[in-house]
Amino acid sequence: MEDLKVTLKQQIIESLNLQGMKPEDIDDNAPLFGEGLGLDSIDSLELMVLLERNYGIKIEDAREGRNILASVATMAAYIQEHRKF
Amino acid sequence: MKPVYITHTSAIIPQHQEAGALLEPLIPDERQRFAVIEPDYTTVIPPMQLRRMSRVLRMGVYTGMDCLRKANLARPDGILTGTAKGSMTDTEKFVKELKSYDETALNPTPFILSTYNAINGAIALQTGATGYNQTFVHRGSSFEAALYDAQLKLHTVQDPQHYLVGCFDELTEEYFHIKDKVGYWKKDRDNSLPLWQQNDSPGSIGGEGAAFFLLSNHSDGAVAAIKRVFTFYNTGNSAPLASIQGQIEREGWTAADADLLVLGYNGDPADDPCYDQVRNLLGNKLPVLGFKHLCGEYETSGGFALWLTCQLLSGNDLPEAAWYQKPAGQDFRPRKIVYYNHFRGVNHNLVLLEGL
Repeated sequence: MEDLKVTLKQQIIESLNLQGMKPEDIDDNAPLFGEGLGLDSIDSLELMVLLERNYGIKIEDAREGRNILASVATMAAYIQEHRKF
Repeated sequence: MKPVYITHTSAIIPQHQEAGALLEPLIPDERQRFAVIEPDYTTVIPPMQLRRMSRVLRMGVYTGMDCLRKANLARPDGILTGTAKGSMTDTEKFVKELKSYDETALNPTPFILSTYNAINGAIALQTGATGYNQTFVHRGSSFEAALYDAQLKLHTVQDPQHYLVGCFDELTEEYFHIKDKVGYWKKDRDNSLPLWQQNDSPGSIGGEGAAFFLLSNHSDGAVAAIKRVFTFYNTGNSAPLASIQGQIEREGWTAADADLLVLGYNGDPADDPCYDQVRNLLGNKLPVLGFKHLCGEYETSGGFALWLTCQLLSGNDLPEAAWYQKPAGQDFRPRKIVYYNHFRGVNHNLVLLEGL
């Protein structure tokens, strides 16, 4: 699980081009949107694409997506349970 | 029509533009192409916006915001731009992903930012500008169309207004390669020689750049007045001399009034005769400022030409190598300037400019 979180953080940094940021700068439980990383709605679409491309996970329900993309910890937990590859 | 006045400028170009050392030393093209010298974008664009922007978006937003910064103006009354290609990098990325991921799981960002008006939108968002906002995509007349529209709009208002008018185009590896296949670029070039001395082989050299101008309907603090802008479409391999002469006369000038020509010589034997024809019309002894040997050939190179002319009018000296035909004597400050440029014989552009 810890390895998955580090990999996921790296993928988030690359996908969203968070220049100058390292995986250790992102707190597992900090909110990704708003106060935490300060991501916005376009970033949420990018994160959904990230999940689909890297783990074969398709999020169809926006409300469900909001909970899954809340933090690195929630994303990692969902990936571990639903990943297709 | 009433003139519009250029009060401030900003550009990202393939040449040096530091104070006191404009175009020095001159940077030659490499492998038949120019690439711009990029500034530190973080001084003008917030990091959270910057991370999403591709190269040309950064170039465009930076020059637009830098122009406003120089004018100490928080918000323009209008934003008008011209671009032939928009963000090619984003377009290429989006199209490649369409293929790679079989039209599924596509990132929204390259698609959103590949739209031509993305730069106008970014500047409007950053400045809170809710006024007139227009992007012209008219291939080789894109920039001049934006200039013309700005003049039309400013003609209709009395109160002082300031429009941010600019242009931007980038040269990507793929675009250069594709256009090379259809003969846009020279196969071999000795870059120690001026471009126009190598018009014995077909093609030109590729270029890119971004330039913005703050235009006003009032002349306070202006460096130049744009008197007339005119674009001509598809006149073939010869310059539209009758139309050029007609426009000059409509402005109340005579052919003998011009004291500087700004011409887009690009070293291509298919293109350069048009410029010779204009010189024959207006005077072969007039000083001629060339510009494509400094920025390369691209659809909105007129922005670079206007920016360079404004530098001259602001009191900057240009190195000898900038000139196609040098003016006699020192401290040359022209009053009546004729800019003529065309892109591949299809889009021809004329601007009559007056130094203030």
